Amino acid sequence: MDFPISITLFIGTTLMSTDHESPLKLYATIFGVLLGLTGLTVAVAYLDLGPLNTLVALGIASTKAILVMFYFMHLKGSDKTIQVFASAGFAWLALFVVIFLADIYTRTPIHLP
Amino acid sequence: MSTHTHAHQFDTPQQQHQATRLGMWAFLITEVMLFSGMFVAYILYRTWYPEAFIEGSSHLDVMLGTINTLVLISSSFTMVLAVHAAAEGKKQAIQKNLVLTLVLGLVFLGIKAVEYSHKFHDHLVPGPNFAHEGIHGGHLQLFYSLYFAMTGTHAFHMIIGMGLLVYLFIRAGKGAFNKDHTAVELVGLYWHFVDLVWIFLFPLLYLLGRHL
Repeated sequence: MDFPISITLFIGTTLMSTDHESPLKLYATIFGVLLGLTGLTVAVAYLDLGPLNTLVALGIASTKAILVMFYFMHLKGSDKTIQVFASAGFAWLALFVVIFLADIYTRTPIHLP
Repeated sequence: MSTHTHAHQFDTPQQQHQATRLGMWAFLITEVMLFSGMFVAYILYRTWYPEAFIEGSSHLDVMLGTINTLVLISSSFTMVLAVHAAAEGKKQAIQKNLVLTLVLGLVFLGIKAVEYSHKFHDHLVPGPNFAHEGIHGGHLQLFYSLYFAMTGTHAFHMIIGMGLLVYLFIRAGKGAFNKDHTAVELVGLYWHFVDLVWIFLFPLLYLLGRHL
């Protein structure tokens, strides 16, 4: 998750520094980046990267999700309380996935005598 | 910042505005929990039956899925423009962008309906009429059960969102957002969340196994 966040922040801060006037330009650029990333994820799906295909797809999806949350949902610049709520939600999601899979894949069948 | 009066339990309109948005985010987190159950089911069954999932995915139309992704992202863009117009108190711009968002939502659901009818026609809907010649038959139904549960729940959220857009359109016509546009902001948050869910559904359902 760290990589998409740093890319997103980089895109965002570059835009912010060049345009203080209107958020419309920022929205339009984010929109363009989201369209581009959609094309990219479809194109990459046709390349054979082995197990990396799924990781790249999820990385691109996470980048898009973070762009939407930070700029369209105004998470960037929101109150700290809202940021904590949003982070807690996704931290919970990560725990759900990790603990669930850890449970499923570490169980061994019990053979009764 | 808005100058409207606030409910008695709040000290300032700003505090009321912050609390309302926080409440909306709390609701959206519960929505994350709702969808995450299905995502985790997807992860488990995909790791158990990878061939069946790739087979199932290959029957989905990538072109239609891609168009729908672009349509939904565009609707998020028009939604953010509607919220921006509401913040600036431009009634006409609010209504124009709400209508655009609504139309894009309808296009999305229309394409989804075409895809669903293809699945019914091809007997790929889980149940007694499911018919598939291949070694993965049973596990293929698992993929399609998840496909219909996830995209169906997502489409249901879109229908609710479109109802909210109509409500906002009517209220905007009466000039309700001149002083306080919180309602537009909250529906915007909801609409973007629905977009977020699709951003993950699209690669997971449509794109896996395309390189094979």
